[in-house]
Amino acid sequence: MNLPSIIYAIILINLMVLLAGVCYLIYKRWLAPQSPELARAKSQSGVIIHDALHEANKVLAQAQIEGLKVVSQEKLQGKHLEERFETALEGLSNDLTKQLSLSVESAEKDYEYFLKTLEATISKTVSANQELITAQTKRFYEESSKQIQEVLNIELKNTKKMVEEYGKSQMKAIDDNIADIIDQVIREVLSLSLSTKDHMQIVFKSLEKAKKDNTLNGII
Amino acid sequence: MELFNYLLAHNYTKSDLLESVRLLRQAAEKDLYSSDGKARPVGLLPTKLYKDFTKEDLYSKIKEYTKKIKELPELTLLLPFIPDEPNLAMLTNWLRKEINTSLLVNIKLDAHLGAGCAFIIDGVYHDYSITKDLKKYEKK
Repeated sequence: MNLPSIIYAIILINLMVLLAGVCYLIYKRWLAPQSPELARAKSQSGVIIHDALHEANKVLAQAQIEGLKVVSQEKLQGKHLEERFETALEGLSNDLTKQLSLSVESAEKDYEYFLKTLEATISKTVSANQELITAQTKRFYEESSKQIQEVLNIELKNTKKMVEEYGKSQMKAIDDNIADIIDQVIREVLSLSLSTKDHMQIVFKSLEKAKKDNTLNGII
Repeated sequence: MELFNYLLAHNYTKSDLLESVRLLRQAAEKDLYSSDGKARPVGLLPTKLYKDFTKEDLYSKIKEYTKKIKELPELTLLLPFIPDEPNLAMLTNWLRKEINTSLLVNIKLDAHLGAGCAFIIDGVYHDYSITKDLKKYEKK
């Protein structure tokens, strides 16, 4: 015998043992005859189960009846509550309407008072602003007048100074011109009126003066 | 030197003096180089003043005179008129008497002076005219 044959044989033996066990169990469960205690216990348990079912049905019926009672009571109470709720709601609505009317009246009064107060405040503010603007305008006008007056005074002073300077410069120009005119006239008069002899006398006087001043000593 | 002093006494400006020396040279040349050899008086110069010139020293003496003339002191005098010859002589003689015996004058006309005179010494202008006096009064 070779090794595979031995392995097949062992597997076959194991399968046979397993099949025998299964057959025994089947027999013990369904095919083997029951004992009298077990049969009595089964009948008693059947009675007990029957009684339990009967009691359960009774309890269930009672519960249904009670439930219907509760539902009917609830319905009755619901109607009653609805009526009360409506009554209360109506009362509440009336109260709220009255309160709302009162509130509206109060609000109107308050609003009127607010308007009056606002009007008075605006009038006061406007008056105050007008006074403030008047005062500021007056102050601004006074300051502006003062500034304008100062500027005008300065300008007037400068203008007077300029006029005086211009007058002086004009007078100086006139003086200069007069001096030039006199110069020219004197020269013309001298050139026309002086003879050569007169010229020579004046030249000698000038030379005498130069000699006296030691101006001519510079000549080597 | 007699000749130079003569020329100086009869001339008052540098240009006149140089012109006189030129004429003197011309006269001497005519005397020395004329065909007959006789001396002739030229212009206003007396013959005796230049009779000592010889052909050898003529040009050296002329050169010496010219150099001397250029070295003479000169006064630039500004006048409002042009003086005639006698007045110029009077003026120059006064200056030679009072200031320097060998002084020459250089007359310039300046009508702006009016009367009096002005002069320039060593580049400095000195005004002694009436115009300057008038300006003094104007400033006052």
